[in-house]
Amino acid sequence: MKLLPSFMVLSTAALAGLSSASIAAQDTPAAQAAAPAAAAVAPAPAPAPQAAVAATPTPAPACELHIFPTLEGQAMTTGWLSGFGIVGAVVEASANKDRNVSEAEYLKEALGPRLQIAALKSLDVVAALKLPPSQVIFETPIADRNITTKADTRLSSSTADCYAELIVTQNFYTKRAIYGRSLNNRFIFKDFRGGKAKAKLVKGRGGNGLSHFPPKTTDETEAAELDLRTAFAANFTEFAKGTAPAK
Amino acid sequence: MRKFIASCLGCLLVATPAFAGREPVPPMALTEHDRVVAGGRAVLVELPQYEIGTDVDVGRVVSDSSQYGGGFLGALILDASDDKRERLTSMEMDKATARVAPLRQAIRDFDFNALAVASTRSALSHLDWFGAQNPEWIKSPSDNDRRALISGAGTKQLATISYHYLLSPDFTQIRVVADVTLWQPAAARAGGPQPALTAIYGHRITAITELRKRSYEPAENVALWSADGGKLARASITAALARLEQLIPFALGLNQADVDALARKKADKKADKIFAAGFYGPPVTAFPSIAGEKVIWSQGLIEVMPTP
Repeated sequence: MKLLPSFMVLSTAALAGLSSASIAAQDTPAAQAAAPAAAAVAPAPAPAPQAAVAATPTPAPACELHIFPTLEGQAMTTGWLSGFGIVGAVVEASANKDRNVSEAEYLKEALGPRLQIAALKSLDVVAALKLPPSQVIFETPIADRNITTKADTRLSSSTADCYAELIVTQNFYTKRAIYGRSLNNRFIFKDFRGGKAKAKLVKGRGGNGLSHFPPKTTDETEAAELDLRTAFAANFTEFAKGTAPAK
Repeated sequence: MRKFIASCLGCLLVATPAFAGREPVPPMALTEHDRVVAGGRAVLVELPQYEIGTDVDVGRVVSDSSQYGGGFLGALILDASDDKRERLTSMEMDKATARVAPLRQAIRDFDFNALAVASTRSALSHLDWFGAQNPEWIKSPSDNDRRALISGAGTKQLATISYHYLLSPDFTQIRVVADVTLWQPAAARAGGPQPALTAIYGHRITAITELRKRSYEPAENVALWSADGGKLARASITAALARLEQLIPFALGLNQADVDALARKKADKKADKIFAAGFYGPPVTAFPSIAGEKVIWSQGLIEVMPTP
């Protein structure tokens, strides 16, 4: 019950986030296929060059943003009986036992690291985090939460002076009797710019409603997965808006 | 608060028998007094695997008691029947087994056992004080096997090196793990049963090779390891065993002060730590690393290098 206010806020934010999301058109299967391997580097869009210098190759930005997706996938469905004491709790847990397992498993596949990256590539992540033009480098996920949520040093071997990290730490699908279906994500942003060896962990979350996930039939699979990626991107945008302006 | 009290009570109920039956963790360093043993040490290499293993990590799983309420009693009932983690782990293990099949097929003729025994022989030959006898190897020894070896060899101590080799959960790494344990029999009583063996030293050492170009798709990573008859996997396992030849004597040479200093750095939030292959800990600067290699301390020595 303590979660009610935050869910009301999230639901409102979800509506706002969905209406402004235009990423769906860019998130094509081709874009997914082109999602780079972890070690690959995807340069962020450079500022529009002037005609005179258009022919010369643009040097890669000196700044780096390393993004760590998550392997996690959690799911929980609660019905009207939740909150009705021990009997309600046991009935709810029993009724949703299989569903919670299968949906968590499905979420891990449908919003796995590759698809998180595809969703983030549909946005200007660098601008959203208020960073200067930066190379975006996609890293392999880190399973140990003691590292992702506590380590204040760099999680890559890069020694760049202008360096930042974005870590996805939660993928959580919920279905609640009153608020319906939603995807919640947690993120951590670490800004090492200025050659810092340690950075403050800026933690935050985003939550947006889902309308097609999980799919009821195989015909709805594509729409459901697009729905997930759209919500994920909106969650990131929500998180990024809440981060303090870069120094 | 109710959940906190329930958790505390649950821990008390569960912990009492669990701790009673738990064997103490052996120290990770030998005292000067224990280093040299008259007559040397028998050596047993334990190689329980028939093929490369897999590992899974399901991450966090939401507990029923945290979501459905039901108070103190409800939390006890729901936690007792909550098997989501086990079911998800089982599903992940089935998937991992299917995914690793091409690699297992590609390296089915790879003689891990022979290499591991040779590496052990080489590793222990670096330590004059250890007094290692010629190593024997076995698949999965029982306590009786270990006792038989020590009495047959006529030594006062037995060194076992148990090797495991497996892929990381995302299939981007091959990890070769060596569990080094030194055993000593308790004093025997005339006419009594064979004395129990006590572990007087234990250290897990892990050598990891990481793909230089990694994919988010497990099948693509497996394809890289398996290509050309598993060339990359064979070279990586061989390279990891070669590094263990250096790491095992280094680990055996650490004294308690070294181990305590590394453990303190690991626990100290302000101490310098580095991240490598999913592990996080202080760098082990005393180990002579090669180019591109990282050696850190995370409840034991962990060595990470890119694929050869």
